[in-house]
Amino acid sequence: MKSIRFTALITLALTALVLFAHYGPEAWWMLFSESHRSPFINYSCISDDFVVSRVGEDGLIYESTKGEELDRAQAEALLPLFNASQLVQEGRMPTEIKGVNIDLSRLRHERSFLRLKPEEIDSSIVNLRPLFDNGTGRVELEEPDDFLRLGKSAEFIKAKGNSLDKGKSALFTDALNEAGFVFPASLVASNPSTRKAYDEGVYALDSEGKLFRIRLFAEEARIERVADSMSDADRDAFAAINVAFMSVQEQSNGRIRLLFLDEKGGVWLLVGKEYHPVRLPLGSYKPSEDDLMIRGDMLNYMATASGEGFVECIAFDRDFNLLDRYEEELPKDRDGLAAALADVIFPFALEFDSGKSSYLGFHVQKGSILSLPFYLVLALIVWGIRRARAVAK
Amino acid sequence: MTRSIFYKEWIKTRLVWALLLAVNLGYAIYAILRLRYVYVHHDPLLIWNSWIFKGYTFYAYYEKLPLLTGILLAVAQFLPELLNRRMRLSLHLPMGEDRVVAAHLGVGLLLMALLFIPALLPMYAVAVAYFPPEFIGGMLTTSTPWILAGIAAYMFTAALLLEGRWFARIVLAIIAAASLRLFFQEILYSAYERILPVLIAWTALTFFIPLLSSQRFRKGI
Repeated sequence: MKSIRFTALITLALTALVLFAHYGPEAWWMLFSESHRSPFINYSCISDDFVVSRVGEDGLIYESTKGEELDRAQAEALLPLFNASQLVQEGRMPTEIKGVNIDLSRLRHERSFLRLKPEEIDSSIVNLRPLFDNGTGRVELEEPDDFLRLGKSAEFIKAKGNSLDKGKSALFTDALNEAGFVFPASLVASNPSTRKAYDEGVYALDSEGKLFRIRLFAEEARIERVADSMSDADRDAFAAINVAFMSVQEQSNGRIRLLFLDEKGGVWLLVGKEYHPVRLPLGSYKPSEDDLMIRGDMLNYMATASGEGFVECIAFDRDFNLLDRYEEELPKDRDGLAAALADVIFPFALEFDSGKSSYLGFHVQKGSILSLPFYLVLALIVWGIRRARAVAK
Repeated sequence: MTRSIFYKEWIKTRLVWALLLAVNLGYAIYAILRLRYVYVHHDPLLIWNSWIFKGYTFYAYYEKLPLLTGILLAVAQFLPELLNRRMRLSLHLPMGEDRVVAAHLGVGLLLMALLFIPALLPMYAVAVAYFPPEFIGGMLTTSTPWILAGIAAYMFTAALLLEGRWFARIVLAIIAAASLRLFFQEILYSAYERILPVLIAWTALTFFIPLLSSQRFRKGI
C-alpha cells in the first residue's frame, strides 16, 4: 500500500516538475521574448567589402562594415549583380566588372542559391526517393512511377500496386555491384523535386564510405564512383573525410553539385566536373542549431551562417579562394533581465520540439545556480507563514 | 472474486463499450474508405509523394479518438459507482482495496484493448496493401502516442472520479490536461520515435494514480 502511494506521488511530482519546466518557460517567453531581425549581408564586387542592410526605425539602413551609411541607390550600385534588374531599368548597370562582361542571361545562369536548415539534417523522412530518367528526350523532368530504396540492395517499389519492380531492381543492384558499391548504403541523398534546372541523380555512400552517383538514363543504370572523377590530390583529401550528411544541389550552372557535412560539422562542397572538394571555413556554424545559406553569382560566392545571437559571412571568388569575412554579434530574442530572471525561476527548461529536428526529444537547458537559494528562500517564507498561522491558532 | 469484478464491470459498461466500439470501428472504416477514395481519384505516385515529403497519413482521422475513448470508458466505469455510492462497498471486499481498484482498472485496460485493436488492425492491414514497410513503421511510431494518450486519459479520469477532494481533483485535471497535450504535437510522422520509450514508461506509471486516489477516497481525505 505504501509503495503504491509512494510510486503514485513520485509519478505526480515528477510529472508536475516536467510540466513546470516545459510550460513555465514557454509562457514566460511568450510574454517577454523580443524579436530581432538578422541583418541581410551581401558582398560587393565593386567595393570588395560587405554591405549590411538592417531594419531601422525608419526603414532599411544600408552600411559598410566600416560603419559608413549608404543610401539605397549607393547600396544598389555596390551590389550590381544582386540588383541587376533595378540598375538596368535605371540605366546604371555596368557593362563590365573586373574585366568580366556582364551579360544578363549569363548573370541569371550563374546565380546559385543553397540553403540548409537544421531540421533537414535531422529528419524522419523515409529512405524512398524518385530516380528521374534523364534520357527521356523530354524538356521537363518526369516523375517515375516508382521509388528507389537503397538498403541491402537497390529496390524499386512501384507506387501503383505497391510492388517491387524486380527487373529494374536487379539492373541497378548488378550495376552498383559492378561499380564496386558495397551494400548496404550508409547514407543516401537526392533532390526529389522536378522543379529544378537539371537532375544530378542520387548520391549514396556505400558501407565502406565510398561515394557513388546513381543515375537513370534512357532506362539504363549509370553508376559513377565519385572519387574516380577527382584529381589525385582531391581523391586523397576526400578519402580522409567522414561524410555525415549530404544535400544534392542542382543549380542552373551545375557547378556546386553536393553540399555535405563532415562528422565534426564542417561544411564542404563538391564543385565542378571533377568534384573538387571545398571546405567552407565557417567558425561559428553549428549544423544542428544554425541556418546556412550559400549564394553565388558571376564573380563571387558567399556563405552566411546565422543562429541565436550571431551572423557570420565569408566571401569567395569564383574558385572558392577566401576574400573576406564578416561576423556580427546580434541581440538574442531571449536576453537581458527577462533571461536572467528566467534562469533563476526555472532551474531547468525543457523543450520537446526544438524546431531544429523533425523528431521530438528532451532538450534541457540549465538555469542559474541562483535557483537553489531562490527556492530555499521561497520555501522558508512559505514555512514561516504556515508556522505563524499555526501559532496564531 | 476477480472474475466477479470483471463480470460486474462488463455488465455495467457493455452498452457504452459497444457504442465506443461502433465509433472506433466507424472511424477506422471511414479512414479506410477515404484512402480507397483518394486512391481511386488520385495517382498513387502523388499519394506516396504526399506521404513521404508532406506527411499525409490516412489514419490521422483516428488521432484524438483513443483519448476520447479512454475518458468516456472511465466515466462509464466509475461515475455510476460514485453516484450510487457503491465504490465504498467495493473497497470493503475481502480481496483488499488496492487489488479491487486494480481489478477495475484491469477491466478498463482490457476493454480499451478490445476497442483499439479491432480499429487499428484493419487500418494496418489496408496500409500493408497500399504502402511499403516504411509506412507501416511510421504508422506504428505515429499512432502509438495516441493509444498511450487514451490509456493515460483513462487513468487520470478514473483518478479524478475516485478522488474525494475538489482541490486535488483540480490539480489532477491540470496535470492531466497539460501532459496529454504533449501527445499531440503537430509535426511530421515518426516524430515521437525517440521519446516513445519514456512515454510508454510514464503511461505505465499512471496506473498508480487512481490507486492513490482510491486510498485517499477510502480514508476520506
